[in-house]
Amino acid sequence: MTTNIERLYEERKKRLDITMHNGQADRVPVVSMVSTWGVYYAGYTLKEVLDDEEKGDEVVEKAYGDFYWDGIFGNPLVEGTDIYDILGGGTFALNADGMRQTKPGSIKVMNENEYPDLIKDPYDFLLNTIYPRRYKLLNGPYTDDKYKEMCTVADKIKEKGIKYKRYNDIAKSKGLIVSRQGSFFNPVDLILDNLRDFSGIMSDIKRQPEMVKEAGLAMVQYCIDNVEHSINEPEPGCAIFAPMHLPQFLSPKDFERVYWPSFIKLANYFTNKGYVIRYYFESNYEHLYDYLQELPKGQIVGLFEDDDLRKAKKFLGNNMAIAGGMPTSLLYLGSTQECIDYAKALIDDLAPGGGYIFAMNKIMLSPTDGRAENLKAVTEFAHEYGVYK
Amino acid sequence: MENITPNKELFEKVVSEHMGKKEKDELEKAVKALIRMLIG
Repeated sequence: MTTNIERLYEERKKRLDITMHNGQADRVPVVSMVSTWGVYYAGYTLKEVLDDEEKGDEVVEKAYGDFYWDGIFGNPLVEGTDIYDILGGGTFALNADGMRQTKPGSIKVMNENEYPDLIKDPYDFLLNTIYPRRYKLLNGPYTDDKYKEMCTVADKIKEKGIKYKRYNDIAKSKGLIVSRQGSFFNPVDLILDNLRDFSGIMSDIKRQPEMVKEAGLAMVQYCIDNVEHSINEPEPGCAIFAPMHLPQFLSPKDFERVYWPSFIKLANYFTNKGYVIRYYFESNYEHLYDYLQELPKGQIVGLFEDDDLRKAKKFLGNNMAIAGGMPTSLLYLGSTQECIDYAKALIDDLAPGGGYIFAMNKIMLSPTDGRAENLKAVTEFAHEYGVYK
Repeated sequence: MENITPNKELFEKVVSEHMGKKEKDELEKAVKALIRMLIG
């Protein structure tokens, strides 16, 4: 890095770190939520980029370099199904455009009476009960051919890690903070997303809530392992990313009964170790604000999708930093002036006192998640306007 | 004595022989990481 880039990097790291701890920095940080939208922006299709390293790097260069960002929450990584083709199964396929889609009927591989087995030993249950059902390769006795196939799977996982690192290096070379340090799904979301599917877990919550709660608690260590396997110490300006799926559908009573125990245990574990957690509250969480107010103060970033951020700031602003707010639908359908007006109102209402990160309200995936000229205009505006004087 | 299932044998062999994680603690952690990566 040149001296100027190094200076920018340090400035941005400090800006993000202060804000993520719910403080007031020199400016409102502007953070990218550009994902596969960046591929279309660079003029490619997802399929064209999938196995082409050069094009993939070009996409990342443009997504990071053509707009004003202080940091990035995610990157425009395009992933195929090669690993799952070898394994002979999995929960998603690529659609005609090359976008990942859940395969109908592929998630519910755990039966309702198997909670005691999951609770007893999650790793053993996955390896020996779930994976033989999910993957043809992992069903049946050991063979040398299987060994060779699994070695290829391990190599491909390693390649993916190398690709991530290369993208992160591109960000750093531009003085951008990769504001993501490990990730986890909360345990009950893991059960929803990978084992029981929506109808299964909703039925379990009504019929055997204690089992769901206990299974969540049994998977806490699994989630800790997932983060601690990839990171060592808390890094300034970074947060552990935790997208949340199920609570938007739960009543406060059910949330408290089945989701909260493992959720708060993980929140306390990581914040006690000095980490910041960035929860992605998908859809709407207003009905759960009473609970979210109990999260550890000053070490949580709430990235909201459909909540009214002014209300979120009012109820949760003492506890957590608020991120998001710029609607991708407006970035696509609105005029540039309308987008700038919207961004100005967000900063006027949410920035006072600090603890606000300007970002999109949704991860930008498809071309309809924004027009480039609007994105460019609002990110530059937010950077220029969001100054604390 | 621990029950070595076909998948446990497979994962341990991949981690130990292909990925070079021979030491017991390191091997166990790498096997668990591989299990987690295949959940979805």
